[in-house]
Amino acid sequence: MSGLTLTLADAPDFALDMSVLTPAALAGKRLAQIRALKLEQGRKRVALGDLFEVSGEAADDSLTIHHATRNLHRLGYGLCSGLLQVNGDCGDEAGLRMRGGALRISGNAGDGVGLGMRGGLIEISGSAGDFAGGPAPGDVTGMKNGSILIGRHLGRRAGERMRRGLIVVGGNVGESCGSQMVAGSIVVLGHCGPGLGAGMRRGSIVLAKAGATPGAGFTLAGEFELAFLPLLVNHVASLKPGWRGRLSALGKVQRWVGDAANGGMGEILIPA
Amino acid sequence: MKINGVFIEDTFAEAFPMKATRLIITAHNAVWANHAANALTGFATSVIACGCEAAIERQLKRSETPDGRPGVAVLLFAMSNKELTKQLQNRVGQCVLTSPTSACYAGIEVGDPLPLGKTLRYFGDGYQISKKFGAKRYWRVPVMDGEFVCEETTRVTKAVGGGNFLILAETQAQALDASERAITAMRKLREVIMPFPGGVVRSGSKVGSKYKTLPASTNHRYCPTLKGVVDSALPESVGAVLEIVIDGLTSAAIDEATRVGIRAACTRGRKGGIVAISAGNYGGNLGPFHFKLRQILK
Repeated sequence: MSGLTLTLADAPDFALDMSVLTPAALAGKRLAQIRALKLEQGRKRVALGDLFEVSGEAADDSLTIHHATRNLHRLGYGLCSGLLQVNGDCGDEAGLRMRGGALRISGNAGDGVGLGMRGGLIEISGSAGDFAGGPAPGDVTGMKNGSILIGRHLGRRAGERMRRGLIVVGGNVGESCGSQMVAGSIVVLGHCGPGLGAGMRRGSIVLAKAGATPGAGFTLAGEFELAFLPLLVNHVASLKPGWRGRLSALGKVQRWVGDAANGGMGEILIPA
Repeated sequence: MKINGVFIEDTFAEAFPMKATRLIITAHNAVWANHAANALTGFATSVIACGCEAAIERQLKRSETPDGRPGVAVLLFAMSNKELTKQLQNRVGQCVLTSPTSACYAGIEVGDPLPLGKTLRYFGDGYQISKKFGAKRYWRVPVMDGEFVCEETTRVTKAVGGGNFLILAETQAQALDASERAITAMRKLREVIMPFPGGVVRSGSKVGSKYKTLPASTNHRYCPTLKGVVDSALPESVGAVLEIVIDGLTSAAIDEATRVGIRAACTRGRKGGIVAISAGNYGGNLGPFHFKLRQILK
């Protein structure tokens, strides 16, 4: 891939705040300037060049980080455009307050993926931790736009208070998925933990596998062929073509409406 | 110039700039998609009194529609964005939303947005649901057979309206046969519609009238029954004239439709009673688009 490449020389045993590294922030900078950038490590600041081998040129809109580890936090913070490719795992709050562009992580991610996200695409090949798509620190609502694709599993309280946007999980999700959701869509291709959609006001949780039974706050409206589901499937397939087949059960679905404790305008769709 | 012995007059069709959009209407099956599309495009032959000109552009396969159901592409033309917006709201609201199992999507991706589901969603009385996938927003409006899905906006594009040609024949039956052949061939083309009933119009008009309140009146010089009364434009042998009006998204699309239509109309030739092909214009001073028959048919 062309563009700037950062290769982590030695895996640090301390947490690093990577929020300063976005393609836009580095564009036009000379390699020496990039090596001199300071990364926050707790109370200390360390030069980027002391930790990473820097190569390529920061001319186009892409940045690749090789050998990433769980100690690299806040990757893609406020990303507006371009591609940030992370080869390896990453720490917490990847894609925090992201607004556009794409953040692709080849391994696993920590907690808080896409907190306060406003646009763009986060694609994680592996699993991610808790609170994905939830509110950023200090915010009332969660993600307001954009898409988060998780290749494997996702932790607890995914999409909490999300206002708009899409989360698709290739594997299982933990407890309280979509809790207090305001709007938007969550698609789960695997199984869900307890507390699905607890306290949701609006929004859609779509399960690709039959058999789940929502909690007491949900009422079965009936079984329907909903015309919007092919639109959703096509959109997911446009982002991840391999998932089209796994969504094939979404022909006729059970529509559970709830949570009655919070207005009851949300829905959980389960293959009939 | 002659095609199969049919004289092609050295004249041109005069057309006007319009605003257009394409809608994709889907339903449970093609029958119901066509019911909705036919209702939507009803009473839409001329902007003179219908507000817009509209017709079915073509049938769509499942693979060509956003939701994978059978569908129909419809083109609507109006004189302004404001009028097109009004017509969309009324026609989609009364004819598509009401039609069982229907859904309605934008069929043009570029251009200024015009509200579609953006206004129709209020029919949902607060129970409507917004879904945004990528850059597109859709509205799910609860209705008695399930949900009406409608894209929030469609796009408007600059277009051309009023392309035309006239088929001059010995008899009414021969003119009708040639017209049907032309329309059958032209309906295989994209980006054009022939908005009149069956694609054919018999009441070609001129600007103005002896009656002050009328903006248009019968084109008396092309009325065969007035030969001998007026300064007729018709040769002695002509007993009937039919016109095919073409609206297109581009002038190139109208060029192609004119070429295909005239060649099909001339299939039976002079021996089949087709005397000549002409076109309607206003002297070239009103419309900026001139479709010169002989140039198109070269």
